Amino acid sequence: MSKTGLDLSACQLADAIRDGELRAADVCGTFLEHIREQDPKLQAFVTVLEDDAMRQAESVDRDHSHAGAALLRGVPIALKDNLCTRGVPTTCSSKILEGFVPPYDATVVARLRGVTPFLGKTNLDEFAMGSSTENSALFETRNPHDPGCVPGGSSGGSAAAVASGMAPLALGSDTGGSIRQPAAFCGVVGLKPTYGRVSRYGLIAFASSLDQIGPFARTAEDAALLLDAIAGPDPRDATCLATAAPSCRAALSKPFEKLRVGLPREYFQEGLSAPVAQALAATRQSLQDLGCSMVDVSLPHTDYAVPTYYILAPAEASSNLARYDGVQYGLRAPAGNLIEQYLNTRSAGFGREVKRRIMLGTYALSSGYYDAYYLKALKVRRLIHDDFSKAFAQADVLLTPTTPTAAFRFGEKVSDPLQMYLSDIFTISANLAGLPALSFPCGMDGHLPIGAQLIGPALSEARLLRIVHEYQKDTNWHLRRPQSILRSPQKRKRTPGEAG
Amino acid sequence: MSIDRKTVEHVAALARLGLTGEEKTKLEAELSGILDHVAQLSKLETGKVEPLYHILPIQNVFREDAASPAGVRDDVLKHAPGARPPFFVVPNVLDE
Repeated sequence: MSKTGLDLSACQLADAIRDGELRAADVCGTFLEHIREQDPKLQAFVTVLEDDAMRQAESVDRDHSHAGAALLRGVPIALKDNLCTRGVPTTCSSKILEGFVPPYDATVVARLRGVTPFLGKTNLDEFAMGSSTENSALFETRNPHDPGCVPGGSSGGSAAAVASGMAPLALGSDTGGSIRQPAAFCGVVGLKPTYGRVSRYGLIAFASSLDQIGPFARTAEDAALLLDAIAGPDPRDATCLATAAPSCRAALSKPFEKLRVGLPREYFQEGLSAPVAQALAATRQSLQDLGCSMVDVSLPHTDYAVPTYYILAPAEASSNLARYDGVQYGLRAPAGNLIEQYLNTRSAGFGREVKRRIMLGTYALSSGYYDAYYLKALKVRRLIHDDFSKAFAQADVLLTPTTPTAAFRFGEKVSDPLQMYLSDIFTISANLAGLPALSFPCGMDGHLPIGAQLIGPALSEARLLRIVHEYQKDTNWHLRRPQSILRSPQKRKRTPGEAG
Repeated sequence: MSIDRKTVEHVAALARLGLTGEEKTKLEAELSGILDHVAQLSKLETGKVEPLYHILPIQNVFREDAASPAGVRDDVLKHAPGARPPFFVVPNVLDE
């Protein structure tokens, strides 16, 4: 079984391909076969790129001229379907992008092209607006640990793909928790980098001052490898930092520093489920065993993060989504004149949550309400940002739960938008403050995974990954596989190097 | 803060969203509920706080003002919902 690659980490796969022990094409074929078996149950993929992926993998096997240049060579990857991919439909899981085929690659996609075969494009809440992937206009993605539960969102497809072993790595995007919350619900590692660390060029915009692209993986080491491959300056994104990104993977082999871990008291109050509280207490103990010291800190404006976010993110979205007018690409609804075309196209093409946020954002920016809502929220954003600066004077990183509970069930929150928004209560602040934050598996609530979150000062990705790398040497939460996958009857696979 | 139907219709017109009567009714209630939650921001004294428009300290990013061909025109037009190359086709802009 191990020879098929499904049980190997991305780092192990990369090493085996580089050393000629595995062919990239065999690895890719194995993952595609696993997708054929599992995805009809999980529905993580919007598009599976069977032929494309095999062609890319075969070209990796043929071309040894770059061997060693790219550490991820030959390791297949799944891409969230809001990342533009040249020549491949990119849907954002929205009807309004029907027929849209980008003529260019997002910068992160361009950096991986020719290196990591693209297995496919993964499902999301429409335009990344949601916390359960139930807002996809295409279909729901199921949590691999329990098909009755949501995988989280908005990057639910990417999280489910990695958790179920259909992809060793995936990319997602995170505006208010859209990488970390599904990573927690699905039991994988998910990292939102510092705002500006990774280029957003070609990421279909939701809220431009908050959006960041980041990796999903099973281990911190794999996430580091993927972050290294996508991070760094890009002349095509003026908000991408001009300073080169240091290697996170290299930082993992340095001696482990004894760090001060801050516990923000506002994140450990009522609303936290008992299993999550217990898992976090155990995580704290594990970090102490590694030599870290614990410090109590306070982020006094935490309660204001959700209301601030739900002004700023919809405001930016209402402006970004003005471009969907049926003129140049995507859906066009029949109409007698141009204004009617805008109205009909947008009414037919956007789903309920997207319309709700466009309305909310337009309202907050409209004449007479701008100061009371948008400007007020920008000021509170400053207060939230300053809370973190003060906390980081006392602590090197902050440890919090990623979510108040484990994965919830389908339909549980979708009818009440406010309840859905409040499920992002622990993840939103890092976006508002532009900070790197990482979710990693730290326990189970029955058969459902629990995630812990580390938040660090700007550009401290290597530190966050270093801590989780050390934690994962001593613990095995990241090795838990979904029971539903293990239980399901598996055809015995033909392994490479094995006769017919 | 409660949002009435007239406000919903005004905002929908600003956002160029065509809404059904049922959608308008739902949005009245939903937006009012969300704005009630958001109203807690007004409890905070922010008179002396500078708004944080953007998290990065960068002001302007300059580059050479040099054009380079993107080479994607035909591709873009091929997937457009209405095109007569090299143009996009749209319905009447002005009433006849």
